Amino acid sequence: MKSKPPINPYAAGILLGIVLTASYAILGAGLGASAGPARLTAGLCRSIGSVDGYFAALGEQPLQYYLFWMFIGVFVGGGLTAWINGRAGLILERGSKASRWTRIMLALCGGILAGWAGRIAQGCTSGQALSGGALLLTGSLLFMGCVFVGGYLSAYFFRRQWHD
Amino acid sequence: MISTFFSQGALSSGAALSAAFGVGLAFGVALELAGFGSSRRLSGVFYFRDLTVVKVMFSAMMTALLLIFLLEKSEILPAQEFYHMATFYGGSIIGGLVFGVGFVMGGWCPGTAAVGAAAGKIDAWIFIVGSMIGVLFFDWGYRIFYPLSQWGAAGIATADRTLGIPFSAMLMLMSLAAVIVLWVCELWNPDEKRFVFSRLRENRMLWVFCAGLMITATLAPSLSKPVSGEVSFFSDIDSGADHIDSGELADILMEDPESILLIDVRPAAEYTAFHLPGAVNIQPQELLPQLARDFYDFPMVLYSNGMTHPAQLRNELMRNGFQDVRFLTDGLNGFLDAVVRPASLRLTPLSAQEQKRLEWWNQTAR
Repeated sequence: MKSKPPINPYAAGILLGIVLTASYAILGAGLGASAGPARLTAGLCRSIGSVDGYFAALGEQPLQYYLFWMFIGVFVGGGLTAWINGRAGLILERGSKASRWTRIMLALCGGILAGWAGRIAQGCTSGQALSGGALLLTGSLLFMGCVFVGGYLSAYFFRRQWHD
Repeated sequence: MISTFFSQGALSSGAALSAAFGVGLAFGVALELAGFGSSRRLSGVFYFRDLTVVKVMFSAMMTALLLIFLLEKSEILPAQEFYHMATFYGGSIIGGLVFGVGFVMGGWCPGTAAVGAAAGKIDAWIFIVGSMIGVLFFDWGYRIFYPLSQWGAAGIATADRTLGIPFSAMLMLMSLAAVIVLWVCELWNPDEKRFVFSRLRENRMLWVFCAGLMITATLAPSLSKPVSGEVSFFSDIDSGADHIDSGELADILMEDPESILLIDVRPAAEYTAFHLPGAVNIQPQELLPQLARDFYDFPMVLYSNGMTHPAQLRNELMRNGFQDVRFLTDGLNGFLDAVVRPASLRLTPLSAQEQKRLEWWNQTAR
């Protein structure tokens, strides 16, 4: 199946804005994603042995949390949509001139930094920047600005992974 | 009026978890339709190759901002029905900078990585595993990292209050910024690496969006009266509607104690040792969660030994949509002085009403 191009970005933005509003109106809280992997990690650690610190603070049932189930929802909803539009397929996305290992290591290290930073900032691009930004929360707008500053300042060093 | 899972304290209930899954489904669909299941596209924003991220993020944020504002002002979704995250300057700045580096390095953020992983992107799976390692690291250094995340606490702060400008001005500022940023992104042609102004005529969708945005941002603040705007704070202070004096409180407690909720915000030990008749003890950080559901329009009086904390808490409650909160003038110390002090210890003779209050205190309240 031929893959379709993404929809108009403003149409997508309006749709995302409506989903965010619905989240506030139904759940009483915004969207979020980084809590998903965080809760999953806490759950795994708890099943292996005893926990303290952050994982203990998440309670005895870290997976019984709305953002964990929202993350699962994102996975299912995103996966189905990608499949229907012919955009699904097992690939490692990278520039054709970039080595496989470069891309794997950068994805892993980027994940580590984002995972840690998401806990420090108590949210990611969805939970902190977008959801808080829609309420004009100072910390959220500041976070969003800093994400772009951090990204643009360091982008040069990671450019090779996308070279074709 | 909508009652949310948050305000019912039921965000962890089975129904809420199912609803969250449903919201997540729609969230995933929206992200995927925007093309965010691709790390190449996402990281493109940092190389001015593909500015979809900015276009979608900004239009989504502005759409939600105006929709939520309208729902709030029309009292369909009052502010106390939904969660407002507190601001921590340190956490936002450090977290934001490092997150930005992680984003451009990995090519994903957590939400889009879930979409990418489901679409079969191997690098998205690796990113998610990486983010779990990052969480492990946070847990490992929790004793250092937790204070770091809480550094620079500023409470529930919104940009308009932080900047000291009216909300309507902030709304207009954000809308103008959105229009400018969206058009700059739209006119930029990444293939030719230059701005192409002929696109002004081409993108009808963006014209419609910008027009809608500006019209709504202009009209929205005047559509309804502010429920708990900052303006009313100043007039409340001016007219004295923010506080209640000891005598008036004593009269209410004497005649109709059920008509108000009297809240003692002092530490539990002080409350146990002594408190005003009928007062309940709620710690400051517990006020919102304990009162949000049932008491947002119920008359309340806050007191402590002095006035500073109750006055601060009163404003915070009003900002969160409570309708009728006052604090006790001169605090508990003032109350004891004005109502409870025996006639023999006073410089001026008691009025008839003061005499009545004192008798009430000695006979029933004490």
